[in-house]
Amino acid sequence: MDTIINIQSFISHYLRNYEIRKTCKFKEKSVLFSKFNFSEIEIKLFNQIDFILLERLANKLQKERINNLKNNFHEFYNYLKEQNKEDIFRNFVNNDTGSLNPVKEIDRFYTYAKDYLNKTESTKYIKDLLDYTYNFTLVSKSKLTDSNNVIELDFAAPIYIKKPYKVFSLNYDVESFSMNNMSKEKPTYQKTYKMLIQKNYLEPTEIHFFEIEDDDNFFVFLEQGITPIDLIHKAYTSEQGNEWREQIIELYELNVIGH
Amino acid sequence: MKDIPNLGVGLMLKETSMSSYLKNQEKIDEICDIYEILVSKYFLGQNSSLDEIKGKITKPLLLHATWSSLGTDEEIEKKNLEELRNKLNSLVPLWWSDHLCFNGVKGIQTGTLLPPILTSHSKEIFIKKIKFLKKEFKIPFLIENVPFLFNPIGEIDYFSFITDIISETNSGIVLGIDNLVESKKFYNIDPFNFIDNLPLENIIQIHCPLEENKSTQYDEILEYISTKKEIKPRALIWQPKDEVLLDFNDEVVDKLKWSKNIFFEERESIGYNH
Repeated sequence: MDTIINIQSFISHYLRNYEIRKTCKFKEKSVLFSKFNFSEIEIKLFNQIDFILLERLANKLQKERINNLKNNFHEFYNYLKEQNKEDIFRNFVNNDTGSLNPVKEIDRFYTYAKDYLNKTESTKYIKDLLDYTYNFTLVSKSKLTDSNNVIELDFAAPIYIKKPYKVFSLNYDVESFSMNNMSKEKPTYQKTYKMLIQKNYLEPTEIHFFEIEDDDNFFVFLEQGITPIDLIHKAYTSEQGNEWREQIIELYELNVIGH
Repeated sequence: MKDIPNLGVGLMLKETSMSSYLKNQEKIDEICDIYEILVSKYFLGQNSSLDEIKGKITKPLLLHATWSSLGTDEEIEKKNLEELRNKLNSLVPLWWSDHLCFNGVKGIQTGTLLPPILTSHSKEIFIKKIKFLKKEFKIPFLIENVPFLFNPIGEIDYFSFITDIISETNSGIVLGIDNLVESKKFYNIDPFNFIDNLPLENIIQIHCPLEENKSTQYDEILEYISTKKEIKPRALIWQPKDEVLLDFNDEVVDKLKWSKNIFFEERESIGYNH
């Protein structure tokens, strides 16, 4: 049967899969003919391929993927580079043939890197750095799904946190450490604290950071989609209630929350 | 393709670059006759959906895609087809385009535009898919050349391959100048010779990057197309980076005027130096 799907499959695998490139370079080509189920016409097409060019292309694509991941996990990469451990990026790309959807690739790299850090008994700090860059990238790459506030804040109408946002826990002050361009000083260990990051609705290229106190339920209540009046009533003291009232007004003005 | 309108000069905008465009919209609109929206399969953009784009842009629109994978020896993936349908329904472009290439096969994408396999079976795949898409969407379709990222493989000459596809499907060509230049890094072709061998009357649109460093080379090719080959495309679409949209200076305006002059008006010098 006349077909080109197997030669197209081979070219695609060659460009994504380091093992196929190795087989092609060092083993009998006939191994590939049976592996990819080539027809006679496809064997002829295979023999026409200039592998110097195809390898050049594979290297270029691989480099682009690695650079994208390094940019997406910027602070994590910088720290690993200091430790001469940045090979993790190349190793991931060499072994991964999954979807190139950027979010899916970021998810797979996160799982791969987490697994690597666990196996190598890495410090908690570097794990925090991975979590931080992962959540930051995911939020910054996600679409704004809500519209900007146009009406006045209504204390009797439910409020919610606008998407995209993420809440996660850290042990180290990763944010200020990375903001200071990865200063040589050891990052400060803190007690476990929660962080909320959200894409800035007023400046979509920027991200809001909010540190959430352990004993502060304000953001927990915000996530429940209740009215400001009900939320303020949940405060332990009237002083805290007033504080929360001011916070709600401020967050509404910043477009962090909406109706 | 004879009833396709003559549109003029414009810019390609990515879904993600809308906020940069909007910052200088008035100035950009003054010189542009048309916009082409590059639609992504994985849109992770800022705050603009295609409906919003449609609401904000007052000039005619074209749509450009990179992921139909028309050359793959498989049916077009259903989710890709639906994604295309949604985007075409939102933007309602005067025409749309994708590439003479394959992007991968089911289960493994390469993230790039791979040259077509030059066999008669491969040609039939393109023809069948383009005919299907034209019937499905009822919107004129153009096909763009891709870089020769590897050497031509197959028994058919590239130019007969593209000519047959164009004539069998009644489609037009987008001449991608960047793709001609990009080939130099892989399978080196002479851009001028490539242009000479195309069915010139079918070139409906031109794509050209709007950037500083390779500018002279691109301009030389544009001049060759205009002066030596006397090609009259219906649209010349410049592909700017976000920085260009944010700093839409007089030099950029002059360049667009120059291109409008050489392709769409009587040739007169307007003093653009490149």
